[in-house]
Amino acid sequence: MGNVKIIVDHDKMDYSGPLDVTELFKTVENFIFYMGYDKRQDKDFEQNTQNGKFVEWQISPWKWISDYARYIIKVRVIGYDILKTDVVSDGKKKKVDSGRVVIVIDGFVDYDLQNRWQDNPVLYFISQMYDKFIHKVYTERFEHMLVHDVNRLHDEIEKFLNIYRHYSVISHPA
Amino acid sequence: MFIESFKYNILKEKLMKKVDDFLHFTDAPTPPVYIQYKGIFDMQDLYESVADFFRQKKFKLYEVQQRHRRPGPFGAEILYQFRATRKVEEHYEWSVDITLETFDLHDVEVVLKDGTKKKMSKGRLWIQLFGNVKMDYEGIWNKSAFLAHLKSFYHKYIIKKTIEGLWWDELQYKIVLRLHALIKERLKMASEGHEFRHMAGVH
Repeated sequence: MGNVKIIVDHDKMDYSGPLDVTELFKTVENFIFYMGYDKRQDKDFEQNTQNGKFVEWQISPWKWISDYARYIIKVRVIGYDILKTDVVSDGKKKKVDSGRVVIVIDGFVDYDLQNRWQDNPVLYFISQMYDKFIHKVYTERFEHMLVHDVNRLHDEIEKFLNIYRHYSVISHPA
Repeated sequence: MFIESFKYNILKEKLMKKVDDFLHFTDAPTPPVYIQYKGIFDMQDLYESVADFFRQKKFKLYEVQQRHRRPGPFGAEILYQFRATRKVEEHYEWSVDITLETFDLHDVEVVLKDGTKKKMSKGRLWIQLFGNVKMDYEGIWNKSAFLAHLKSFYHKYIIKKTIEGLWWDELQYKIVLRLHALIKERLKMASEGHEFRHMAGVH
């Protein structure tokens, strides 16, 4: 592991109500695939409890942006007391899940994954000078683009859950 | 004295290299994937699904270990360890290690939708999948230091993109994640299905 920098720290959503958990996961996966990320599944836990299903699902997809840096977006979904309920949609009766879902998104930029610039203090110092002063514009641009990706993912999930989105953060890629 | 030992260390580093020092990038592992499940499931069906999946993908499946023990009154702990390998081409092979462990496992009788009764298992399940692309699996390039250097150069500079972009990618998305999705489907988990199923390819 190289030098990991936290860019988006715990972007959190808390939702209670009817939803389709399977479709929610598919939406997130679809989005990361569409954005060109490689998938890494960290957790996929499900426990049937007396009050319903408890689900913990975590992925940390990554995308190389250069030989030196890559993005990692960590999405963690925790579902509590998820039960099947009957709803009427377009005049047809169908079953959907219902429960509480907490979604946490983190964004990281991982620099120098191969540890080429961390073997000794001099190299590390040079790499830090390079990142923070010489290459500063690019470094900040990388970070803006990651924030943009996370915002888009956040917006996609809000759209899926049909949450009021009047105050969504609007960002543009740098 | 210090300078002498310092010189000696540098010389040692330069001249007395071990084989591992110049053998880099001999395999490309995938990140491990986990499933944890608690509830009712059909163990026989799960076992057959996994075996059938590898048969369809032209893998050879080996049972490395099967351990059954009863540590307490809550149920059995059964550990299955499988290894599936496929020699894809002369230069590389895929291997997938599967660890499947159950806790507090006991049999229950369930009534299916059509009214028939079936024996299934109830308990906790822990699954770990781990894939690996191993290059030069027959060790042809390990016969001399020159060949080892050549292999290292070949992997690092000539076929690096092929390893990362094709061989590793296919193993990750078409084998490991697909098997992961299959297991979730058989367990009827909320997270069943995966969005990489439409990936291009003929297999």
